[in-house]
Amino acid sequence: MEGRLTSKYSFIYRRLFTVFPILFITVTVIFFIVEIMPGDAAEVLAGPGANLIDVERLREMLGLDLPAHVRYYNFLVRLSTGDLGKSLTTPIPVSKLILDSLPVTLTLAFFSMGWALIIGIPAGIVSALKKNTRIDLLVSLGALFGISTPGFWLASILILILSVQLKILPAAGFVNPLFDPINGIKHMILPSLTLGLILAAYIARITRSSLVEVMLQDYILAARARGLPEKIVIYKHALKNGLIPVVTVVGFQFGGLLGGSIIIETIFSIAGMGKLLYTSILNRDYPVIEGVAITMVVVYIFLNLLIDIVYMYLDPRVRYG
Amino acid sequence: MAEQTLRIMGKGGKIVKLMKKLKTNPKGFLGFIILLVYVGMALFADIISTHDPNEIVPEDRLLPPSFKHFFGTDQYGRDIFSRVVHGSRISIYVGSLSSLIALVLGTTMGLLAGYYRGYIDEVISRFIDVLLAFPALLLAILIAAILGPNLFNLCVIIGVVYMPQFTRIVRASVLSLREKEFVLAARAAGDRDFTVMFSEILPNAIAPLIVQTSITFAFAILTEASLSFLGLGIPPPTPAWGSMLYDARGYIEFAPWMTIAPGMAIFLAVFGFNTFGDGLRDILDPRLKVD
Repeated sequence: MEGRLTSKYSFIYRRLFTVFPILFITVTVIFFIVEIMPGDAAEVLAGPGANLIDVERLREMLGLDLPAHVRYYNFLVRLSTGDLGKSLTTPIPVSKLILDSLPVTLTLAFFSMGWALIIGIPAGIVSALKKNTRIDLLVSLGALFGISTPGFWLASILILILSVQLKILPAAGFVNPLFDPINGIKHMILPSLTLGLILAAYIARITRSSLVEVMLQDYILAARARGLPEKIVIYKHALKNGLIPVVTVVGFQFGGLLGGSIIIETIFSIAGMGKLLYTSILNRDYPVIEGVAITMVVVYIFLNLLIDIVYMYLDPRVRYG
Repeated sequence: MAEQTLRIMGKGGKIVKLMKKLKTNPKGFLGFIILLVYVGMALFADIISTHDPNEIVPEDRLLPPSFKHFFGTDQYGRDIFSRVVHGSRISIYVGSLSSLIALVLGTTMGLLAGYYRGYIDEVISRFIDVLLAFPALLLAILIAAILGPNLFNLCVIIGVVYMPQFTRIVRASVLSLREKEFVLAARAAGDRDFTVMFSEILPNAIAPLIVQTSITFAFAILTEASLSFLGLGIPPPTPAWGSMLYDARGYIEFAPWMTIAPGMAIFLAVFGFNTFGDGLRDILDPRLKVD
């Protein structure tokens, strides 16, 4: 027991140590991606039609005339204090913009994941237990439909049916569900359902294939041979192991949710990080692009780290040597 | 697994054998048919379409579907059916070129990493880790903002974004094969590293690579449509499905047909490649098929 615990902690430490280099490299990559985007902050601030001398003066004021490695160093120093710079198109600091929009995106992600799990896991379980029946075929086809549907198109269709035709749900906007639960949830249903349905398809697929495999294991046969009722075999023995791979998929899919939020928030006019990124790209607001990209990547990396650790606790078979 | 693959992919009518197996797999066959329809549509777009896809007819704008305009017209009076048909060219082009880029780059890196190990493996693996640390669409949007929207750039972007999966597949299979007798024999016989990698090791990783290519094709079509929908992909007036949906955004209430037809086209194409990929996996990689 002692030995296993130490190895568990040493795994967590080691995993933490691999996170930091990756984090450092990704942040560097983002800095240089924004760096080589056409145009620079001085041009945006000076506005269209500004003369070259003004732009040059602005460039000096902003320190954009310094060599790239100096600016990179300054950027790292700034970043280490949590300062993400100032937005070029609004008077608000980037960190404030992000702090305002991150909870919105996380709420959307939370609701979407909720739909995905509520629909995906039971569908996958039913499909696996009724393998090769009509229900299984139906679920498999539904899941294939799900992973093949473009999210932005599904959003348009849902808006068309539920908002425009039936007028049941609002087509745009965000209301914080903590302050106004009913309105908040109403506004959340369409966008989160769009993201959630697609995710549910992936989760149903992985649940099915994992559970089908588990049901063929010897220990299930043994449990049945001992005369345990089928319900106990399934709930107490099969699902415990069968659902473990779902955890990893949830981690991966979180990236899909963050990426998907860029499109879904734009369609539903939700002021989250995805919409912030999109508008800042259109407005060439470089500090905001940089800040949002860094935040998304940091959130994604740490979430996957968390999932890896949870996974290790759930599945003692996995040895991290 | 390796033997299985060799038997399927081995010499003598491998394509014919594959097709025969495909016929017995309903999912794969359905995908294959959809795929054929799209390729046909792309090849014969000029014959199939009823109008010039870019012809602007102001008096015909926003017409609902009819016998003259099967899928209606858009805000410029362009025929949506003809634009959807021509759009298949863009999607097939983007799908093929980006999955080819992902396949070639990813496979080469996977071979190098798995075969030479050591610091080459370290560098390549860390690079892949960094790519995977980005949500795919975020990375695609960032690179698109640098390169600017055009067809070729888009394929490079999508190719790079979906390359890591190929590298991982190939690297893992090289690591498991590099000490096998047939590889050692080839090396002992004095084959050059290049030959060993490409003609001894790679053929054994073909099955998962084919499946991954088919899935990447589907993802590429979806990603291109997403970028075009955001206005960061294919610039107008090229009839790309995503750009058509971008145009349709303001018209969902008055002209829903502008949204329905191109979206359906994307959905069916992606569905086709996904089912084809699923079917191929069942056939080529029985280990992954659990029932």
